[in-house]
Amino acid sequence: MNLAISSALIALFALSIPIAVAIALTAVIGLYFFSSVPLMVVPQRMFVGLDSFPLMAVPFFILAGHIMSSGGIATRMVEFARSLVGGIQGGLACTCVVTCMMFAAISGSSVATTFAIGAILIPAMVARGYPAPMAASIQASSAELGIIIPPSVPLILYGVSTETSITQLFLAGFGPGLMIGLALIVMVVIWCRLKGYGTQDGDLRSPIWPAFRSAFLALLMPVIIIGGIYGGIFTPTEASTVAVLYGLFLGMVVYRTIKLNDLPRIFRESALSAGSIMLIIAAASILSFVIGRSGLASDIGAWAQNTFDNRYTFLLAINMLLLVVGMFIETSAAILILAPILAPIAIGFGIDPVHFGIVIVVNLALGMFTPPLGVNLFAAAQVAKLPVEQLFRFLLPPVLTIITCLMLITYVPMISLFLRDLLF
Amino acid sequence: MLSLLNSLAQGLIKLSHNLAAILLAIAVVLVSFQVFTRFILGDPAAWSEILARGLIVWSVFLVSAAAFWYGAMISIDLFLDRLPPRLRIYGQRLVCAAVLTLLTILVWQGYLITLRVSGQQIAMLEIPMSWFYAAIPTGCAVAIVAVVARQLCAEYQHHHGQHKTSPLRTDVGETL
Repeated sequence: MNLAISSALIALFALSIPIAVAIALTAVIGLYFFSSVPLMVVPQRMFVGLDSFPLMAVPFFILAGHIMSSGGIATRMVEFARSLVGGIQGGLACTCVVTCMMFAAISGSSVATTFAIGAILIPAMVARGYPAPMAASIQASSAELGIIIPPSVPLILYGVSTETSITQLFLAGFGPGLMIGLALIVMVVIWCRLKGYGTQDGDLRSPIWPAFRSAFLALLMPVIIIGGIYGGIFTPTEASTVAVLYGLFLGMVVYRTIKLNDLPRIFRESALSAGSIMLIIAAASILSFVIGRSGLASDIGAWAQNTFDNRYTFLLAINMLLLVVGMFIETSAAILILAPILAPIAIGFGIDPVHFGIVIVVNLALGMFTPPLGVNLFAAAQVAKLPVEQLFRFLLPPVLTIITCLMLITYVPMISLFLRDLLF
Repeated sequence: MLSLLNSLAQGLIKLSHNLAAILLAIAVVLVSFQVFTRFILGDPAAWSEILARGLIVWSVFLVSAAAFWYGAMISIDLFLDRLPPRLRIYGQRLVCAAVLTLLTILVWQGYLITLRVSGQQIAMLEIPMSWFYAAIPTGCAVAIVAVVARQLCAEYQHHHGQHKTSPLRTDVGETL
């Protein structure tokens, strides 16, 4: 049965069948041919999988992301980031990284980050002489911070599917997010020095204080959301509705970039993009049930215990597996299927489940901007109006930077856990 | 005849998409209401959370029709994209058959589970559990209409060539 399930899943993915359908059909095949459980369990598990309070944060943070993208918030953040770091050679590329870090702290997805920031900064970089594919590749790689710096939809999914505290996961995302952001800044500065790009980046930028004042209310948002969660004031789900309401207040009342008749469009788009993720979650919930019954998880666990001597070799193997998985499979599907299998093994090796969640998400985030299937890559190429293949040549520096960071995050748990250990 | 069916299908997809958007908005209001009651009144209303969860399930299954119609369902398209244009229609038929198989199972088994839970009450709301479970057969039934309509558009295009704008294919593939 185990072999049948895994080969069915891979075959259905390979045939371009939508991921949610492929996952649920695999579960149906497993149940129908290899068990006596009635198929009624399929809709039943799907319902139970979706009917959860922590999970409601996913559609709400997606909605909040759509609201921020329409609401003048991105522009103000770009101006403020530029006033901070735009003065050096390669300053615009640094601005891109810094703005992505700020935007990541209010948005839980990296595709939303790519569209919101890329629409402003890719044309700006191209206008100042950066090659367009380089600008797009910097944008695509910086936007991965969207799912590492909290709030983060993939971290919520890891928390829900492995019963790990989402609050602790969010706390653990900060250190790695900050480190990757700094590493990307160092990378783009060196890259621009070597190639001679970005010498005019400092022109016409606003001084820090006015830029800060103009962006102040937008910058307050992460303080409210993250501060509220860590202060124990809201649960992550409640914080997600606060993000929606505050975003609407900024967009409609303060900045007035969202009109009343934009609302139907925003809600329709959000329902659609949230729905397509939630259907994968529903499908993964029935497949997890089937995998749990089939004994696949415990077989893999026993095999891992025998194969790897210690947690270091285990983590190395996990990283290599996830790098390959992340290149082909969408992040939330990969987490929902693999995390419930892998997390108990990791705990068996003495790895903290919170640290393990960060390793998984940082690794899969890399897959978001690597070919052949990187959603950020497609989004950045779409914003830059380039065929996606042109970006490939410019991906090596960011990919190497992130792999270096990933190794540090994997083998130095303190980077992820110091904030949590400070507070818990 | 075909175009009448097509506009009916589109109407249905649009209706379920709009309903899903409205339910999402109501769910936000309900959870905000809960935060409000907890902070201001010091006495959180528990019913609003349970209702919001049910509405999110309805929103997700209702929007599935639009997700299939607009091609917003996430998939690994390497195989379909690599097929020569002449053969692509066969690949699309295969995908369509797989999707319809699953949706049919979900409508049928979803209907059965809805009947099964109709005797149970949802805590705090005092309505039958089946009101929430009905989201699955209902949403998947509308999704079947959307998947069939999309495949018919693809077939029409296959037989009449890419150049002619099909009266059926109005917004397939256009991402929102």
